[in-house]
Amino acid sequence: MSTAIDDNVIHGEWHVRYNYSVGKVAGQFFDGLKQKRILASHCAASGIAYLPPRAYCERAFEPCDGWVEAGHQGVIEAATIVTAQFEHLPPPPYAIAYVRLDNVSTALVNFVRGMELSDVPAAAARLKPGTKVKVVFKDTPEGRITDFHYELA
Amino acid sequence: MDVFVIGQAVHMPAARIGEKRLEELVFDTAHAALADAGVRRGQIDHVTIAGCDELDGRSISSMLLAAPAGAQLRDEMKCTDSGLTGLCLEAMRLESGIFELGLLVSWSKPSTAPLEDVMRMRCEPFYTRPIGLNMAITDALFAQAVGEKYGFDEFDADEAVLEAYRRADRNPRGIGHGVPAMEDIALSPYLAAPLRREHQAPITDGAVAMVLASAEWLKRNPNARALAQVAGIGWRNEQYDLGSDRLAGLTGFRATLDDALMMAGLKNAAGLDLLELESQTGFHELAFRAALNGNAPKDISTSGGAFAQNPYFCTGLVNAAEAVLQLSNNAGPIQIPRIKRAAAHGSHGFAQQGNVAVVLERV
Repeated sequence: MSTAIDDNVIHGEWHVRYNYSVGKVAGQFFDGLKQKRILASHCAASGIAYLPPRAYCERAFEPCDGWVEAGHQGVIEAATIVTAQFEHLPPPPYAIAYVRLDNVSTALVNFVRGMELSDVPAAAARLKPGTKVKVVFKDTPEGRITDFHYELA
Repeated sequence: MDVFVIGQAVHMPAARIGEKRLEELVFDTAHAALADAGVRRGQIDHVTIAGCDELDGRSISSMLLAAPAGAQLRDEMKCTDSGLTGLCLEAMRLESGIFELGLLVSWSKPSTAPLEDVMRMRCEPFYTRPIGLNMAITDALFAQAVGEKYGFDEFDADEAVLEAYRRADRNPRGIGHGVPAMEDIALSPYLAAPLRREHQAPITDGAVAMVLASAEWLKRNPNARALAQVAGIGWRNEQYDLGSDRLAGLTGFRATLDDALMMAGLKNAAGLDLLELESQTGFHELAFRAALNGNAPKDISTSGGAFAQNPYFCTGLVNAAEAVLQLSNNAGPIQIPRIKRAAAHGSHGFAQQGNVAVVLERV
């Protein structure tokens, strides 16, 4: 931790490296992304297909016991256009949306690209809940959530 | 519940309480609450503290802050969800019959660090952190979802903010933001559409402490005065992922309030005289009111709520303190005549994943 005293304030910053265990379920999801496949975990007891995949069903409180492949199209459940510059976040403007892809029960957040964002209210009106979007993968996926983004269908 | 508030203190809020380090803020508030109750620390048989290490900027807040909260060598419990959750835990400790006299202390000094950078840490590392969420962004998602479901837009949110500032302006315990012009709200820049900067309640520093006692302790100490009785408590955590049902359903808010109201013997919120909501934006104020389904009390957020002061994390406990002031006829110029029952609401997490409610009654 670095410190310095200035104007009756001690400044501090932490730089800590974490190593998060991915686990089997998320690992399979990220492996799927490398093949441009989006895999959702499925709970037979509740019938819920989770994306992002969960090892367990939040409702049935049983282990998820299967996989389904999400379609590459879906509908927006919630969206926003970020117009402020926040520390450690991308330069604005950019759009993000929670999208429920075909064949799954829950919504997954990602960037929405390929839109003109200079007129914010007009762009926001094009991102209303229920709007259809498609998944667009990058040419060489690396097994990261940012391997794909959404575009208006 | 046989649980009574017998003293409390709310530290004077400020955008930045720069003249005190955190421990001094906590000590001053805890000490003032004990003085208000007319009891000494030596009489207290337990302490409940509610603090947020992320906002404090130190991961040792229990170790360093237990002492200024009066908890040295006392039975102590720490809560990290919210200040109002701390009041629920404190009430349960007294209701258990194991304890009789407790001190609850909660604080927040968000001016210590860029709030949104701290909020970003609430992203889990696999799916949301690479995209980047924070309080403003998730509140914007909430705003879009509830607007779509309940049929209100950003102009309605402008009005809700203006009304909140008008109520806050009458509250002498608020920070004194003043009442902005409508165009200052409506034309403020978007942070994340449809949320504009002035739709947000400004964040402040602050602290709250309460002394609570059991009915048995009050019987043995007839000179102590009960300011209000805790009649019901409730809380819920919803799912983390922000789909439309999670955002617009307000399921956690409703269930939380229902639990607290049922414990207090009330059918719905219309049985209250006052509900102090934690509305972090104008959209929240509109959404929570809509979720009451027409069963609203006559007075809502008379204090101005988060628009009066907003020490994020203990804003809900400030609401409880305002309710106690009302029920003990100590609310000054915003006193509601003949008030008998009031509830405080608090929330925490991205787009209010957690909700907490406490119903209080006049003694």
